[in-house]
Amino acid sequence: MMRNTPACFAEAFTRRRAAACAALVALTLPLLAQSAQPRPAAPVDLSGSWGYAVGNSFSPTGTAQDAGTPADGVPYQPWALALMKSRKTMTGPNATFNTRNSATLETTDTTDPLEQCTPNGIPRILTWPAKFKFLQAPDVVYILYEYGPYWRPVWMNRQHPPADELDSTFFGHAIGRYEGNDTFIVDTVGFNDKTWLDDVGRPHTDKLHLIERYRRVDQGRLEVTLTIDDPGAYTSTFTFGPRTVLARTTDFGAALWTCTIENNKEFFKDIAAPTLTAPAK
Amino acid sequence: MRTTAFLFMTVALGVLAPRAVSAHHGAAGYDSKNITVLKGTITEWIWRNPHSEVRFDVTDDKGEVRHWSVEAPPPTMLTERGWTKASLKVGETLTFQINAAMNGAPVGILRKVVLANGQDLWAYPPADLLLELTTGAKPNP
Repeated sequence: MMRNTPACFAEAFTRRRAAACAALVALTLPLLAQSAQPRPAAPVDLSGSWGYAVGNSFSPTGTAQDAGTPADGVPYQPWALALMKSRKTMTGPNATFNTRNSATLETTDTTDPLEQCTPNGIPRILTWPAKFKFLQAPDVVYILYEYGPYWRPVWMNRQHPPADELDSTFFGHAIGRYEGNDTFIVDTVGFNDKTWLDDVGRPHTDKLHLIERYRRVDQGRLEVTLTIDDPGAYTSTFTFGPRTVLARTTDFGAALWTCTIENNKEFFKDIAAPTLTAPAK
Repeated sequence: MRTTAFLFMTVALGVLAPRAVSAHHGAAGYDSKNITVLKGTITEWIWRNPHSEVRFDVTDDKGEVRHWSVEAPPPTMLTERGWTKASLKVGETLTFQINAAMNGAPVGILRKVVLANGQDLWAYPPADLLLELTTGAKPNP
């Protein structure tokens, strides 16, 4: 069991870097001996790399194909439903291909902000098929993402700042707490409204209040539950999950998923555009 | 050497195109039910997002050369599946298994490469192999 073992060793055994870890510990021990109090281990061990996507449509019920119908269980305000249906998504019941103008290579058939490499923010970053990782310290937990690469601090033992000090950002302001010996809860406010909640284009406003629950089921599994409270766009709170993601043994960050508009255009020109012409006779 | 033996056949496998593909241009563009096998000589290997890309020349039995451009997963995924940027080299003649474009254009999505030593290098492995590669889980016997 990795719980209560130094994080370095937990990583070392999965990555076969025990020798390097031992050297690090040997260097660190004298420093630890000098400190009055050793740092307590976090009550919940979130070590490892986790992935991939927890889903692409964050509705209580139904699939991405059910988005915008009563089957999805989402309490839309009328304007939010209308906005979602007006969006040209690449996933969901009205998905379009990402066609671009052959001359300018600008997108023509999707309004997905990801095609412009706009940050996907949270929770949408959890739709991406790449890994994420927690780095735990007593006063802050950093969550790192291979996509972007983005990272966000989750402040422990703190409250959100007053409303007039709160910025509006893609990843918001996050505070965290542990619950029991297996769950980490992240509470985030302070969003802008530039991101989609998920791949089917559900909107949100700057009133979004997101709760993420990460429950470590065992060494190899992490359960993720999202609770979305946005009185600007929905008539009540709704919940997605729990969904299970797996512990991945491949190196975290060995390759990063960086979005560039130029690469998206090149890909369209080289590969996608030729598939869109009429079949050869 | 750009002239290669020509090998072209299709195998019905019912392989589904992955989600990341449909996000960018729609899986409808590819024949996801059949595998096309091509032996070609690599002219370019591009390791990048949103998809890597391998270009190769295939010469048919009449000596005519067709230039193919085939997409592969991005570096994050390929790295997890045992690839490096050096896995493919310009000038190598290898066997490529792809889902080709439905309209006959010389483009497609790479399923796997058969290396010169006979080893399979999977771009989109079967689900149980992918799970083993990324979590260490052994498939059920």
